[in-house]
Amino acid sequence: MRNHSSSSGALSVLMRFIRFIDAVSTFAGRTSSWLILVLTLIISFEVVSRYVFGWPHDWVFDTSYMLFGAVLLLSGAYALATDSHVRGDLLYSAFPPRMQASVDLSLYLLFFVPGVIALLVAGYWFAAESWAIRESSSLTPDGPPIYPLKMVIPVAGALLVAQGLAEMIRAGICLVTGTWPDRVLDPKPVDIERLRAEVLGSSSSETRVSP
Amino acid sequence: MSFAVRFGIGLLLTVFAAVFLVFVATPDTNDGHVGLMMLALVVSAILIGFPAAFTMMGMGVLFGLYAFRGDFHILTNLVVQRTYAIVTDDVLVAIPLFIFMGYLVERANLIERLFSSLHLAMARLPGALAVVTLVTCALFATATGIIGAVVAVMGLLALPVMLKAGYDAKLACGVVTAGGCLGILIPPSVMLIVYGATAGVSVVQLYAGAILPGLMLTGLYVAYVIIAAKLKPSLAPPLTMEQRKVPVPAYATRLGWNGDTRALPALIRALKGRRNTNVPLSTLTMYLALATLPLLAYLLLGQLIFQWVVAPTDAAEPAAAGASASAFWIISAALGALLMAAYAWFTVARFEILKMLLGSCFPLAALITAVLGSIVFGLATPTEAAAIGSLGGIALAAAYRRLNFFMMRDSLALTIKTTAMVGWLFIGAGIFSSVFALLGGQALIEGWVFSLDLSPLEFMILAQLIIFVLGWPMDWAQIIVIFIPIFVPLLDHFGINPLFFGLLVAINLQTAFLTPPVAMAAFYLRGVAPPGITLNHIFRGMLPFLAIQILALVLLYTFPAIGLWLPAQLYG
Repeated sequence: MRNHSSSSGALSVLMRFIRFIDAVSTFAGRTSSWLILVLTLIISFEVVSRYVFGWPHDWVFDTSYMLFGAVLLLSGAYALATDSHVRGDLLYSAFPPRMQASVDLSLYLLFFVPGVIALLVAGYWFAAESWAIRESSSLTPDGPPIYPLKMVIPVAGALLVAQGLAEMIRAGICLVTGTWPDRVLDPKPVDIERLRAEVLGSSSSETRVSP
Repeated sequence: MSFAVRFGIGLLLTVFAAVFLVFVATPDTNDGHVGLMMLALVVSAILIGFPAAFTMMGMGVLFGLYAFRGDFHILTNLVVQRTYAIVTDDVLVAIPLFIFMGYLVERANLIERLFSSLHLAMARLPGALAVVTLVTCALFATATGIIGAVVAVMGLLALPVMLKAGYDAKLACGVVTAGGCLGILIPPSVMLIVYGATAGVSVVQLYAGAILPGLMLTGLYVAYVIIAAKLKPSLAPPLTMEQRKVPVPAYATRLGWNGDTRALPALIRALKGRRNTNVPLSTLTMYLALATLPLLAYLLLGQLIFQWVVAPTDAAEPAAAGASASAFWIISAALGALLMAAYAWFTVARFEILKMLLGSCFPLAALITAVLGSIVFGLATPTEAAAIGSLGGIALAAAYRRLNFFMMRDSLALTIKTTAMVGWLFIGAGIFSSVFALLGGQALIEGWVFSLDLSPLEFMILAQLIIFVLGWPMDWAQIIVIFIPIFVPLLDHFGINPLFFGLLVAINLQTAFLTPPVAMAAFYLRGVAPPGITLNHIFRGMLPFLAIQILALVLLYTFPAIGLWLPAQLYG
C-alpha cells in the first residue's frame, strides 16, 4: 500500500515536470508564431513600397530570413511537445503502447540525445564568437546585426534537450503504467470535429442546395 | 497482423538484408560502406516510426564522429554551420508564408459556397456532382495545400450529397480522395519548394512547369468521370430537375419574374418602370452593376491587351503591325459577339449562379491567379507572392467574417508546427547528407549505378519505382530531403533535366496518397464518411484514379513538353 502511494507520488512529480517543460516549449513556439504574421506584414509592406512607390528597403531581406530562422529554431521543441514531427506511421501505430514506449526511449537515447547535445554545444560556441565581435550580416552592405539570430541556436538546442528529456520520461511512464500520459491540447491540422460543426452548422441554414 | 505491418516488417528486413549483403559480398569494405549502413539505419528508424529529422541529426553526429576520427570540434562546427545555412535560407522563407496562407483560406470556410455554386453551374454535365467535387477540390487544394483538410471537408460535404443523388459509393469516394490530393502537385505547392531547395532547381521554374501537368491531371480525372457517367449512367445518375433548380431571389419573385426571365432587359425595365415599387432601388442598381461586370471585364482586358501586347509590337515591327492589329480587332469582335449572345442567354436563374460564383469561386481563383501569376511572370519572388497571398488570405477570412484572435492564433500555431516539421527535416538532412558524402556513400552509389550501365529510360523507371515504393511508408518531405540529394547528382550523367525529374517526382509522390494500404487520403475520408462506407469502398474507388496518375506520369515522360514548354517560353 505504502509502496503504491509513493510510486504514484513520484509519478505526479514527474508528470508535473513534463507539463512544465511542455508549457515552456509551447510558450516559446506559440509566442514565436506571431513572428510569421510580422513576416507577412513586413514583406507585404516592402512589396507595396518597392513595386508601387519605387522605394526599396535593404533591411527587409535580412529581416525576413532572420524572422524565419528564429521561428524555425524556436518551434522545434514545440513541434516535439505536440508530436507534430513527421514519423512513419506504418509500424509504430500498430505497436502496443509499451512497445511504442520502448522504441521511443531507446531511439531517443541513441539518436536524439547525441544530435541535440551537439547542436547545443556547437550553437553555444557559434553564438559566443558572434556576440564577441557583435557580428553584422555580410549579405547586404551595412547589414543589420546577425548575432541575435545566432544566439537563438543554443536556445533552440536547450529547449530541445529539455523537451527530449520530457519525452523520455513520458516513454518511461508509459513503460511502467502501460498507457501514454496526456499531451497538451493544441489545434490539429485536420480537426474533424470543427469541420463537422462547420459543415453541418451552416448547411442547416443553407439547405437550399443539398436536397 | 495487418497487411501494412507485414509490409513494413518486410521492408525493414529487406533493408537489413541489403546491408548484410553489401558487407559480406564486398571483399574490401571502406568508409563508403559505413555511409550506406548509416543510410540503411536511418531508413529503418523511420520505418519503425521515429521522427526523421532527429534520426538524421543523431546519425549524422554519431557517424560524423567516426568520419572525423573523433574530432569533436570539427563535428560541432559542421552541425552548427549546416543548421545556420538552413535557418538563413531565403528560399525556405516562402514555406511558412504559403502554409499560413493555406490555413487562412481554409478557415475562411468558403469551400461550401464553392461547392454549391459550382454544383448549380455545372448541373447539366454527366456525372455533374463528381465533376464539381473534383473542381472544388482542385481549387481549394491549390489554395490551401492541406490534403487532409480538403479530403475531410469534402467527405463531410460532397460525399453525402453524391450518395443521396444515387452515385456509386466507390466513384464518390474516389473523386473526393483523388481531388483532395491535387494540391500537392498544382502550384503554389510547398512540395515543389522543398524539391527546389533540395535539388537546387529554381522554384519559379518548377511552378511554371507544374501548372500544365497539374491541369492535365485534373482534366484527365474530369474526363474519366464524364466518360464513366456517359457509358454507365447508373454510376452517376443525372440530376433531377428538382436538384437542378436554382433558387429565385425574393426581389425577383416580387417583380413577377421566374427563373427563365431574361435578366438584363428585365432589370432595365424594372429600373425605369413603375413595377419596382416594392423593391428598393439600391437592390436593383446593385444587380445591374453586377450584370455589367462581364462587360467591364471584357473592355478592361481588351484595353490592357491592346496597350501591352498589340501597341508594343506595332512600334517594334511596323511591318507586322497591320497584321497584329487586325487580328486583335477580329478576335475582339468575335468575343464581343459572344458576350452579346451570353447576355441574351442570361436568365434570372443563370444570373443567380453568376452571383454565387462571384461570391465563392471568384475570390479564390483571383487569389491563386494573382499569387501564381506574379511568381511565374517574374513580377515577384515566391516569398513576396506568398506574403501577399497570406495578406489576401487574411482579407478573405475577414470578408467571410471568420477573422478573430483565436482563429489567427490557431492558424499561426498550425503554420509553425508544419514549418518546424519541414524545416527540422532540412536541418537533419543537411547534417546527414554532409556526413554521408564525407564518408563516400554518395560516390559508392554513383559508382554502382554507373557500373550497371543503364539507359536513361531504365534509370528513370528505376528511380521513379524506388520513389513510388518509398512513398508508401514514408512522407513526401522525408523522401525529398533524404533521397533527392542522392538522385540529383546522377541526373547529369543520364542527361536528365532536374526540373523535369522534379515534375515526375511530384506526380509520383502524389500517388503515394492514393496507394493502398497506407493511402493517407483514404484514412482521412474514412474518419468522416457516413456509416456503410468501408475502407474497401474507398480503396477500390481510388484505383481508377491511381491508374490515371500513372498514365499522367507516362504521358509526361513521353511528352516532356507538357512540363517544359511553359518554363522554356517564359525563361528561355
